Amino acid sequence: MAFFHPDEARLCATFLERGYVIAPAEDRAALDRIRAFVAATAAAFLGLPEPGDPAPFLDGIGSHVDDARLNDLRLAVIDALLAAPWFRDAYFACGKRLLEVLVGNELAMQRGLGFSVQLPDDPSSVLPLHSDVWSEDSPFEVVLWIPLVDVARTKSMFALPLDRDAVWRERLGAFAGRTVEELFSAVEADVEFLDIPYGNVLLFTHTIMHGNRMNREATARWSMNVRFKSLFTPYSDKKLGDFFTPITLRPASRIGMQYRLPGGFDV
Amino acid sequence: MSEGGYRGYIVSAPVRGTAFPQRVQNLVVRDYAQRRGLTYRLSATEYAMPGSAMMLRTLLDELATIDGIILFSLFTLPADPRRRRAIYDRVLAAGKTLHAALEGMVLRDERDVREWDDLIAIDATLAATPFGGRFEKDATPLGADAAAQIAAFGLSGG
Repeated sequence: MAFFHPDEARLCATFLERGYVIAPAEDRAALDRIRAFVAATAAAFLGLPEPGDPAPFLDGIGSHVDDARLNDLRLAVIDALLAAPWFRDAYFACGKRLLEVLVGNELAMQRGLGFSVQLPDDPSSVLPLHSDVWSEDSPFEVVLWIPLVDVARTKSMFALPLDRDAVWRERLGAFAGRTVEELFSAVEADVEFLDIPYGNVLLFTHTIMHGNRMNREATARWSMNVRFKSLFTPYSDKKLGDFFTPITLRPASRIGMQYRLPGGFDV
Repeated sequence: MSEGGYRGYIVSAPVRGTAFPQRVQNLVVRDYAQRRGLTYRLSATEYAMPGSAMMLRTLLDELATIDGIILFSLFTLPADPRRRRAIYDRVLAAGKTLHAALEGMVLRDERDVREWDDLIAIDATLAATPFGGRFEKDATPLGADAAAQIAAFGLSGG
């Protein structure tokens, strides 16, 4: 760790201990731009005037949309964000240093975007306990998770800290004949619901068990998530090209990939 | 006279180690065209012989009468950079576009050529990185099979 700046070393130690870090968005203007754009897009979708203050509008979206239209609203916002040419740069800018310290400076970024709107008491938005590596992700990926509203308790996501996750992962085979809900009940005392005020970002390894419960708070959760990984680390079923795209390929790698030794020497 | 539209291009060989049924490849190509409002015309299927690009060259000969080609994946292009370059040059010289449906990418100019070739070069380089650039879920890095992994790299476990 001697090559790290003391601040970076502390960040690495926290990440290795917890499996996640919460930090202020590094480009607050970029985050505010994303939030204003999301609020304006949602308002347009619902035939409402553009909100002056995005925060109360997003928190109170449940008074404008019901469960039946919620997914269409979500998809409309995703489509609009991905069509905005500035969006991916802005998203990366919110956590660039975190990613460079904890993952690397030669990165691949998810092409698409995960986007969640979780209305109060809506059972359809529950994401059961899981680790992404148990499906089609590589453990070399991390998730940059950004709320667009203040989130806490059941309005937020939960995660098992890295040390507790390691303990429960060893015991997982004992749950082979049981349900995810039974697994959650077993680990519940160890999970942490992450308190993240708007203006902060969460970076976590999706190797740890995480998910969300029914939102029992009075207002709606809005959050985005995008996966990143070091470009030259192993991929799983989410591959380079169709899922990930290189964003910070360095000149030395470009030269190395193109280099060929001179020929013409007989063995 | 130009008939317009985009010809699909699918393959018979595995793409990056995964065999996609041709029906699935066609679904991906058709869905890509539909989402972008492109007029889709019939796909051509490349021969299964390793390295064959005969069908792709045949489509390039049709560029005068179509708007472009939609590849199932950019990884269906020839691995040899010079052969790829020749394909890019023909498409760009004709003022047409090349699309990669699985990756959602369009090749319109030289900047796009760099982006496409970067992806292919990185993917090829991954094969020479630890674990071949692939995390296999039944062979956890440095897990229970660590000894076999170390041996596979020709290194000493001691």
